[in-house]
Amino acid sequence: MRADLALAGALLGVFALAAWEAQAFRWQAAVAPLLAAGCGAVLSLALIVDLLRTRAAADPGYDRRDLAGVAGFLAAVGAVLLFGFALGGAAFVFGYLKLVARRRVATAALAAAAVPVFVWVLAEVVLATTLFGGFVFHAFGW
Amino acid sequence: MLDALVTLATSPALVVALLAGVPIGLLFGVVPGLGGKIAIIAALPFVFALDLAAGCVFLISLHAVVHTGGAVPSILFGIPGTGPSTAILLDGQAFARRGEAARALSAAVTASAVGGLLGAVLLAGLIPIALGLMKLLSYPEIFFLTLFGISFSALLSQGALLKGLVCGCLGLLLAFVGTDVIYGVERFTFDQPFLWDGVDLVAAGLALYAIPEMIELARRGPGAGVVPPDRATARDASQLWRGVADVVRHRWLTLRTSAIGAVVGMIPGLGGEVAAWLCYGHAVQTARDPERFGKGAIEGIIGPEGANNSKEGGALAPTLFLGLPGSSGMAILLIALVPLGLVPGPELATAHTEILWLMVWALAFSNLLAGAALLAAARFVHLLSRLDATVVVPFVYLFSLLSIALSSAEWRFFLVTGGLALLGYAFKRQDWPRAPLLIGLILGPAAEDALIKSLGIWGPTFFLRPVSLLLIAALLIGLVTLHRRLSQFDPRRRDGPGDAR
Repeated sequence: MRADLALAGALLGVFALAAWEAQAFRWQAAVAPLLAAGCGAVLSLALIVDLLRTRAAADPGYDRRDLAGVAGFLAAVGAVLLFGFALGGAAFVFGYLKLVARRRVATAALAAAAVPVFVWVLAEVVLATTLFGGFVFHAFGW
Repeated sequence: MLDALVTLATSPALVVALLAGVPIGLLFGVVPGLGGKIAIIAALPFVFALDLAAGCVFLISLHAVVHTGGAVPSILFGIPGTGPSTAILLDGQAFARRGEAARALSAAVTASAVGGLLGAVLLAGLIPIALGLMKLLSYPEIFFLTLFGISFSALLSQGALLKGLVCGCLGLLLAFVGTDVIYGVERFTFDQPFLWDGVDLVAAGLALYAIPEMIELARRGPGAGVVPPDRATARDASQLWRGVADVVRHRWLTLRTSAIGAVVGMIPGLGGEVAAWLCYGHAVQTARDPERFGKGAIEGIIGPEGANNSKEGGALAPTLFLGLPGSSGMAILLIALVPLGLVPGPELATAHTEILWLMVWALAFSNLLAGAALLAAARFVHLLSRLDATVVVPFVYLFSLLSIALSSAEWRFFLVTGGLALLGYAFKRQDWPRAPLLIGLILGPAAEDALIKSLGIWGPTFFLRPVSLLLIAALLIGLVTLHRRLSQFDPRRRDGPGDAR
């Protein structure tokens, strides 16, 4: 299946659902979303027709490298959500530099060690705020 | 105007912000694969710690000089540091191959500084005019201007206007998520309290731009963008002066291309690449012996580089005066200004005139400083081009998440970021434009506010007012004309780190 068609189809669905939901709002709150969703739906439909009429462009094709790239980002989100910025961030930086960027252990460890220091200086000293600490520490009441 | 200069010169915080922004911007321009947007995103957590004036000076200084740095890898190694730097690739490389890299680099840097100064002068000249025009704008005009911005940004997607418009509509729809400010109606919140305030602009901006760029960099694997070992360096001091002399010799070309760049920058939708290639074409057309171009013509470097930086001054005009970021780079800059307390939209110019003048001075001084700094460090700066950009990836992820945490104080926005990042990556891989989406998201609230007020005051026929009809006609004619003209350019403009998309 062509990915661009799938994307256009998914967006058409989003616009249609949004237009349907917007009808329940009072008119002052509905007019702008309805305009955006209506125009979006019509344009998506025109785009689908246009894509169907034209020859399929060279599809970029998704492979394991895409998956690895996305997994790297999701690992960052997961590490921060679980262990917070200081420790989760440090663990992620170490893992990424060692496993993906293929740096030496010492280099990766040095870069990872800088993360908690940076986070502490930024949050506590510069901004005087408390950053998200992570669910694991929160669960233990730390 | 002069008050702002005195403020900038006498405030240690502003001077530090200027001096810090320039090297950071240069660094992100010099390292291939990074660029202005990533520079702003990496600096965003620190912006939260700055006051309005210092933050604006810092961001403008940083953003203004990225393209100056982008000339370094283009000339020395044939790898464009930013999108618009591709225009100097052939001639720059020809100079490097014959051992005159320092001359080419010096000419590029000097032309960039002149271009940047001219862009600042243009911006300064527009401020009084814009302030006068702002007083004439009413709600219908503001509404049509926002549509104007989104439609023009859709033109960024060369050969894919429909995709651009669809993305613009999606951006508008995302902008309407949250509780309606006037009537308290919850819209598209899925009963999630964290969405009552809408989609966080910083989270969306980072998810749609920074993270897909980094995922792409990671996909290419370690070594992507890394330059080969010593091929050509910039160590000859006498060549540096020859480069400066080249710009003086071709001063009229420098001034002309700088002016073209500044004007192109003012038109929402035309990016730095268009400005650079347009000026390259102008340099070829006006040369007595055009056959030299591509084989080492100094005008082929001076022309695009003059336009590269002057474009920034021009592009700031619609961004700051109308709240219409014409390119993705300007959209990211506008998003970075939000945590400082600047609200995008036509009111920005009238409410923060002093800040506008500070930005103009920061633009001028940062360009001068960047030129001087690169000339002074030309012997060593090539080493920076050899940094592996992949190493930056985990830090950009962390900086992005930090910025989101500081901006929204809500962990669930990490999940929203994850979803939008996947969408942004799909758009990037499918070559769909992301700028209209972001611009729609930024301008959505202003557009809705203006629409509701227009309907309230004039009724549904507000668009039949003469001014509204004039604006609609201008919008349609502008779209068609620009679309036709843009079709003459390379239809496969890439979505690189420094380009307009």
